[in-house]
Amino acid sequence: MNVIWFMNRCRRHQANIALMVVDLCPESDRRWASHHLQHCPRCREYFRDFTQIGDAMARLRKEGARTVPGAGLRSKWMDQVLSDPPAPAAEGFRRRPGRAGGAWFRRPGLAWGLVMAACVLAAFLPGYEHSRPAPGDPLADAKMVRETLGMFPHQIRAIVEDGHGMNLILSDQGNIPASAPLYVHICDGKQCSSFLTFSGQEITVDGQKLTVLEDAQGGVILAGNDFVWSNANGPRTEKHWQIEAKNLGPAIM
Amino acid sequence: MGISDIGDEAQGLQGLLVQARTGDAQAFCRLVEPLETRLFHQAAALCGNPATAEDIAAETLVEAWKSIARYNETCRFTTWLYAILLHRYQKHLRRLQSRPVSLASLPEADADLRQAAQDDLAADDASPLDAVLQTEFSREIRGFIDALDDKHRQVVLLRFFEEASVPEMALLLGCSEGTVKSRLHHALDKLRRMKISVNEFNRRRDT
Repeated sequence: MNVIWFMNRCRRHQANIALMVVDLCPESDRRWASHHLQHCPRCREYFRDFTQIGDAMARLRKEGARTVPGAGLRSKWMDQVLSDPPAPAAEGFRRRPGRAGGAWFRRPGLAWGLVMAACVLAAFLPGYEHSRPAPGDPLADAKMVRETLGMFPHQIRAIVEDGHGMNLILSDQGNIPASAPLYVHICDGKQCSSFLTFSGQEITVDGQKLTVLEDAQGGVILAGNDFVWSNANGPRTEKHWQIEAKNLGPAIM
Repeated sequence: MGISDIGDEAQGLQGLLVQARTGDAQAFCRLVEPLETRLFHQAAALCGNPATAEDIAAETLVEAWKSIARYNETCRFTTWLYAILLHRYQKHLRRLQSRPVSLASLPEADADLRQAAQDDLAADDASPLDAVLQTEFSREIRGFIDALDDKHRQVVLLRFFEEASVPEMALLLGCSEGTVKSRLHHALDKLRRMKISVNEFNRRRDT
């Protein structure tokens, strides 16, 4: 059997399987996908996973519907509506036609912001290098990190500090999803790298991509191709790396 | 589409909408009052916190009032309101994220506080173990949804919580119907991969 042909068929059906779970699959595509599911255990697993996600979303919705609003909800909005006249809305939810997507380099304001950020960092660097404390001291970067995050609160994918210095990685696809900031420190015996990033982002260590996640208990999970690590068990070694991680959490918000 | 349907009630709603667009605040209040609790429930499903849900629902209605002239009836009024609610929720997430951060020895997130702050929810008709697992996954999925980027989060929430159709989503989001379907697929796939990562961690922890 041609494995690549088979996988391509699965990929085509998996898009329809996702639409089946949300009741948006056209009938003809649904029939083909259902027929494929009878013969493909891999796609059946896909369907099962999507169905579990759909069930969890339904439970969240039910949970929301069971919540009772307080008596003050009505006055919270009505008082303001009755006292404020309608005004032209600020830039709305919907992108205007013809406007480019979230690519940061197409926004002149952000480009100027980057220039200013570069000037600020350049101004910091001589003093920073002169007074650089001992390697591995997390306090060393707090001020710079704080100011950098303040300049780009929704655009930063990660701040990385390693043997090459400190690097700021910005998103080119629009706003970064929000989560508590997650701090990860990885040492391989020769050098160490520190990351400040957010749940769902990827970091690269020794050429391997790791996904950083925040779990339901506020712990930090690193997921690689062949391992999963969590800070629930404290700093420890995975593969040849000594890993520490910390959720900077709601305490700082 | 839109709130124009056959019947006196619908005509009444249409009349209220027309009046609200002319700046009649009382008409707007009568128009949205029946939708207040629904919006609150949708906000509560998103954030899991009643106080935050109240704030988001209230902000949504105030913003809807300020933007009422921009509602052009190309989608259901409730869908338009939900889109504003999603926008407010995203702003709320960014407010949480945008505080300055120090790498200094800040206390780690207090797991006990998090646990206490979350609602206990028993599944309706599952064994106790299944109920715990289901509740746990529901809490996790909320975090996974917050971890999606905006464009993927929008389509997932519009579909699951507002049951918006593909044409409605396409109009609201300013993209093609094919793009909406593609984003839905990729969003569900991302949620699936996050779930697999966490399951793998749990499996290793328990063995």
